Amino acid sequence: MSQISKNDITQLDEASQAELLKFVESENAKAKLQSSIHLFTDLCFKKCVPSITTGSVSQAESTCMQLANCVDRFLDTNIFVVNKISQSMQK
Amino acid sequence: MAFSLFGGSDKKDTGAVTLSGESSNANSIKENLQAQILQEIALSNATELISKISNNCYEKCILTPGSSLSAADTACLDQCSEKYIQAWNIISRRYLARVQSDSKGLA
Repeated sequence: MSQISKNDITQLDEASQAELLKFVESENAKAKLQSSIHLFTDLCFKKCVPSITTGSVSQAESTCMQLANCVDRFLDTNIFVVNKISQSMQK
Repeated sequence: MAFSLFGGSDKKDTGAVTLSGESSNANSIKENLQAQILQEIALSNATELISKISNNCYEKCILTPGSSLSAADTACLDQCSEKYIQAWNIISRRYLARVQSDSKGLA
């Protein structure tokens, strides 16, 4: 893997620099999504897979994990907690 | 394992970077940098996944730690890892679809 020095970057023309900036921003956004997916998978695996009996996800487990259930309920919980805390902070 | 899941780039190195500052070099610098960024993101994703799988499967499979991993232990770990990755795929697909449809609704 070749090393990029600061010197190389400053030698880039403005158009390339702008393109790189956009690239970094878009990869950053993608990375945040990935991070959320890791969090949800961790949570939902713990909630929906009580024990390991087989090597594949059963229908019931899949339904539990599907957004309609596990992730949505987590997001609902999150919103609920945010509201509750902001209410108690207003008192 | 399908590390391409994480968007890892298999772009070949576009060659040595010289300091001459020509515009063809700007392209190669830019591509090198982009490839480096993608590789680091892919690595960080893989590391995160390994960590999550290790924690979850240790919890579910190794109920009483012995002096080594038994055959039952490794069979369970095998199944557990596969299952976790399947779960990751399921959730990833649905979550990304949801994010896309949400943002379209807001547009």
